[in-house]
Amino acid sequence: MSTDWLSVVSHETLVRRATLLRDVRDFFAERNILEVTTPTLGSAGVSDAHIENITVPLPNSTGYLQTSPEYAMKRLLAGGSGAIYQIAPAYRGGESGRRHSIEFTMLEWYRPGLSLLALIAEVQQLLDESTDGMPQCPIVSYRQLFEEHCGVNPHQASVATLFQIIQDHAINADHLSDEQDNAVGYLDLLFSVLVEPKLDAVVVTEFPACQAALAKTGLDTAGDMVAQRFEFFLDGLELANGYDELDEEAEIRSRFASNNKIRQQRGTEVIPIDERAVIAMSKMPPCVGVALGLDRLLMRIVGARDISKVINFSTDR
Amino acid sequence: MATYSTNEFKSGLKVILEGDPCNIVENEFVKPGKGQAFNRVRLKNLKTGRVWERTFKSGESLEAADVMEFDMEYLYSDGEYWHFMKTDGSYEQLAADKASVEECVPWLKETDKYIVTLWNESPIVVSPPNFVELEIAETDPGLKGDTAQGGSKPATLSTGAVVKVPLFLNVGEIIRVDTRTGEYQNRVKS
Repeated sequence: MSTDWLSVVSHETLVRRATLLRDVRDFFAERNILEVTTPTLGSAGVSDAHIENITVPLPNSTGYLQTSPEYAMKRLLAGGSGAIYQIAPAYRGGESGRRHSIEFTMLEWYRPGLSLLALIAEVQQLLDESTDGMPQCPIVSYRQLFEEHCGVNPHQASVATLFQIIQDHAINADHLSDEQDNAVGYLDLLFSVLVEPKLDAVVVTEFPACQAALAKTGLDTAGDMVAQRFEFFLDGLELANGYDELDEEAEIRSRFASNNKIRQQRGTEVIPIDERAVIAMSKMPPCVGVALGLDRLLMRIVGARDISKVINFSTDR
Repeated sequence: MATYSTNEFKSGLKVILEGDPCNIVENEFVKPGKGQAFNRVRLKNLKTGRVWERTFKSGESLEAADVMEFDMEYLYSDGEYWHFMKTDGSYEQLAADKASVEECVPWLKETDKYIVTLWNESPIVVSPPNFVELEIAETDPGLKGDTAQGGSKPATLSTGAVVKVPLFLNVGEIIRVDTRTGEYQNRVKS
């Protein structure tokens, strides 16, 4: 008899998820950070060049399932909500594998007036309080890691140099062969193949400016332009992704436009700019924000190697 | 023409890469923080046995390979082809050419069972089981009393394979050999 209808998640993991959600809510309640709920189905998508929106046909328009609650939460921030958090499902088309699920649970929070360093400390506290034996994660710059594992400064290396390193390590780069800007793709490939697998309990900061997304940029100590972002890594897996949030309207528009330009070149759908989100981002107070994958945190807590072991029913069953 | 997209990739899937049938050994979806997603795939070329590591842009597709494996009994060789028969009760026979059977020849014994991989219904590779039992056809005479440990000597088996065996073994004895390493395992009491 088929048992395909059954969840593959163990009862212990179900209980652990419930405890984790309770601990997270306690953590934010103690800090007077307000829990909010925003719709998962909206009228605008994200233009990130490498995130695939899942669309839903509505009677008179196209709906978008959120890829993160970011835009809606920034509209609340601009309206004066103060510090807020949300636990919400997020959807990303095509992202499915051992560490990815098309639908997953995101914990996202925003802290007006906090510094990026203070937010990193807060993420660490949350990890300490919601798990047993979470190590302290040292802060290391992207450049330092890249120099250690690939031997060059990622902010200055030429396309030819990066390609040479790829060849020296016999890494296949077929999937980038028709890219417009190979430096961006090569950095990603090298970092995800040579660096990320070795990162356990580390906070990476100062990403290349080309990976700024909606983070502010600034100069690092060596004088290179870097993105004011951080990522927490556990077991070679990105767990959380935080930004010093960009709030300059012209720059926001220019980033959205360049995303859409890449989409156009690649032949993927161009996403209309979410005007309400752009205006909100330029009106919100200076703030930092972070998104954390709760399923991945649960993987770490229960020692699961595959994300499907912590999510009750994957999209295909 | 059936194709598989990267999101259908999983180990065991048979696909065509550079014209050759391959088995997907490992598939990992990678999504760099802000970059383009890709799949890192390890594929074993079923014709050559070589393992390739490739990356594919997420959403790319590969043609499906019509590959099947059968347990088949080895019948005989006519010098040009090696003939096998299905053991599923159909008694269907197939002829494998030299290229497909080459690696297996040292272990081929009539009436024993082998795994024959078919691509588009033609045999492309014949694999022996992990262990085979074969008779020693030729070796130096055994040394009495030397059963404990010590040296080894070459022995030619009935199939022509040469294997290192302990000194005490004699012509006519049957031994068990690991086909993956070509190493002697133990003597088989007959």
